[in-house]
Amino acid sequence: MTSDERSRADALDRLIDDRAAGATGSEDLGALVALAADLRSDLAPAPAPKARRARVLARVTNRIAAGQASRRQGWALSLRPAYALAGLVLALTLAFSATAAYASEAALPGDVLYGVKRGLEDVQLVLSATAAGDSGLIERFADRRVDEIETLTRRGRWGDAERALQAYPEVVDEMLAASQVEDLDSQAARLTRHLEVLIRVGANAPSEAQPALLRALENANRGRQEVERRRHEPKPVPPGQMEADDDAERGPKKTPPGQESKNQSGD
Amino acid sequence: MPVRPVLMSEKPIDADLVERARAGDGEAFGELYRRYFDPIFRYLCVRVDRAEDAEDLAGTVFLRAYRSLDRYRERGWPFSAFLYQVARNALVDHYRKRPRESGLAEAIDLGTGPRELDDDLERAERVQAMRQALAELPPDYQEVIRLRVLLSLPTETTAQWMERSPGAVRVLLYRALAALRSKLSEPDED
Repeated sequence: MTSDERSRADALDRLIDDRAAGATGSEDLGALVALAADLRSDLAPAPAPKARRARVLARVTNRIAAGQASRRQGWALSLRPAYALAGLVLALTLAFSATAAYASEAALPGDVLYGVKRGLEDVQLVLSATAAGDSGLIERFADRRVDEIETLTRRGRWGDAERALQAYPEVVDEMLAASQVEDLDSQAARLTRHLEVLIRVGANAPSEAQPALLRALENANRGRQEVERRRHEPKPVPPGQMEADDDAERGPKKTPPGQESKNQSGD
Repeated sequence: MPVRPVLMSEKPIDADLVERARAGDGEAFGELYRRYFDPIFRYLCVRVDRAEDAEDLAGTVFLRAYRSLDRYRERGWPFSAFLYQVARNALVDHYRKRPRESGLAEAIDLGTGPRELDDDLERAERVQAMRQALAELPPDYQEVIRLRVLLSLPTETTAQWMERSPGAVRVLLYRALAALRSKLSEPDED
């Protein structure tokens, strides 16, 4: 490798990431930069869609959970006759997906099965076909997050609770982003309840958890104010009705041009 | 030459996440998944023919990675490079089970890619020529083009994944693109 080749390689490396720079130094380098741009344009893969990401995660977490459960089962059943074990393992294998899903419902942040629970939520969102469906699910998931925080604090798991509190602002953002006009009343009620739970949690929170708790409270309050603002916004008037109102303001309906003589002749 | 242990998305807390995941913290593993699913999935997309295969393989990669956490030791080898190695092994198994139909065999591959060929014949021919020329390059030339150009990974990350120095990657990329350009300018035999 010559020093000339190395300096050209260094220049190419910079230019590839900085097409806006324009000046390429030489015709040869310019051709290589253009080739790299063509390759990116024609062959670079697109980012993974969210649905695909969620689907793979759900599959992976299910299989991890299945593996952990079957190891536990294997230990517990090791003294039983082999044929009974084989039957049970087969039954467990067939039933496991549902079992893992059921077991994960009670999982809390920091638990092994919590990934399964969140993965299943992602799958539910992927499967929801309407914006109203998304919004309803996101509200339910938001309630779960708050319930998880309360349960964690009741059990004294403040480290996990603090992490969950730190993630709470995102929950509010998602609720607001998915919000539909018809959901505003229920969202307001939910956020009021969230505030009540968080205030309750704050009564026993250690000082380390206070900053995260304060931020969660601020965000619940911000969410409630935003929902209230939306509730009191004037509702959009359906197009047909708007036309009628406009006509009323404008006074009696005018006869369309060309029909005057026809109407008059009918008299 | 030892590779410098610093990285694009390899924030220092990757090591902490790995430790927590190893101790059974599912959330920590979920965070690692969120960080690295996209580059790994896109890498698999350029290595196999169908997005569905890339999806299956991505699942296999993260499952194997989870099960191999006890064997992973950072020691200057970032977690993303570990995932990349797991992905390469999964691809070997994939090809073993399902030999490529294209006849380019070990040419390994850009596959069909995620973008469908459109009706523009000229563009379709150009894309096909690029794929063909790329598949005829030596494997390390193909790989540096995939990582550095198609996935737009930074040089440092490419170096870590390929276990080379950044300087070596820059020279490799220069040679790979020059070789590709030369192949593309060869007269068509047909």
